[in-house]
Amino acid sequence: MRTLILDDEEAIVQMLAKVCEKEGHAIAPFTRSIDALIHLGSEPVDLLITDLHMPEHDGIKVIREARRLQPQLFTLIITGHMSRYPIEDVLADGTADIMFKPFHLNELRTRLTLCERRRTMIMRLHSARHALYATSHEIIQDW
Amino acid sequence: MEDPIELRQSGNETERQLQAFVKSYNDLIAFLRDRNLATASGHAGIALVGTAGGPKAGLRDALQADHGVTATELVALVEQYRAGLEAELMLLHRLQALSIEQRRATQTGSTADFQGIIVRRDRIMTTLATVEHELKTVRGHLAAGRERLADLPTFQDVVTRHADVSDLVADILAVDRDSLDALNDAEEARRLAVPLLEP
Repeated sequence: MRTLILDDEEAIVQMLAKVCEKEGHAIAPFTRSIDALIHLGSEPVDLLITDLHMPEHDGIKVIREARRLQPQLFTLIITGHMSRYPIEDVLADGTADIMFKPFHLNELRTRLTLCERRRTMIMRLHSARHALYATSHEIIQDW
Repeated sequence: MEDPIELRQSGNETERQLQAFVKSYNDLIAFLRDRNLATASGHAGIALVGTAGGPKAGLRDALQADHGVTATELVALVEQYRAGLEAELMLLHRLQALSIEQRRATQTGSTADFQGIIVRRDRIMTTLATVEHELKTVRGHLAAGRERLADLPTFQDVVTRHADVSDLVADILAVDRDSLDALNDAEEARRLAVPLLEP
């Protein structure tokens, strides 16, 4: 899985990167939102792990822009400050999850596994639908 | 020239009928291969002209004639096409049953069931794509003779089956949409089960 990690705390980014790499993810680590958004504009990403409270753009803005750039993106929000952010709509579509700092590494691994499993299921369903649509389109349209 | 298709032997009715279609298709490929060899050696089609009668011979002649197909030959071609379309419909029915199973798996959150169904579904989809790839050629011949075939009961049957294909595909896609929604609902439920309280 191609995973982008964004947190303004370098130590958190490094810790998340270490865990994700051990889980087999290809990591793109960032401490600045603007750098993360530039990366999202040019490179495919499967999972965005982001903090909410950051100095330049908050995590909600990053998630919204990231989804605009890559609609299939999954998101894992890791935060210590939730109440000031309108996260309901971000979490509403089922492609986002949330964890609170401090967290146990096993909990992070569990969330990553769940996310990858769900992503795989959704991707395979989309793929099956696409294959059926393409083949049936030939049958129906060529007639 | 394409290689003959192979399908695993099975007592299953769907696969039996598919085998019938595949056998006809392989006959056709063998004929085309023979014809090409004959053409290359300067004996174009001689060995095949006037061989055994029946639909298969009619089909061969129809394809051999290219632009000059007779009505009888077209009828045989329609029969052949209908057999292929029926095979596709049976595969689509199996896909429909699997998509319903898949929806159940997404609703219950059974990843193992889901993966198993996807593998079976992929296999059927591959077979469907293979049958369709070959049927496409026959469809092209029929499309060229569409006006001459319009009054044939068999042709009307083919038209009806095409509508059945559309309905089945629409149904499968709708069930898949439900499955995607169920996946999202399950995630929503999982999250709601863990109160969103800050530590």
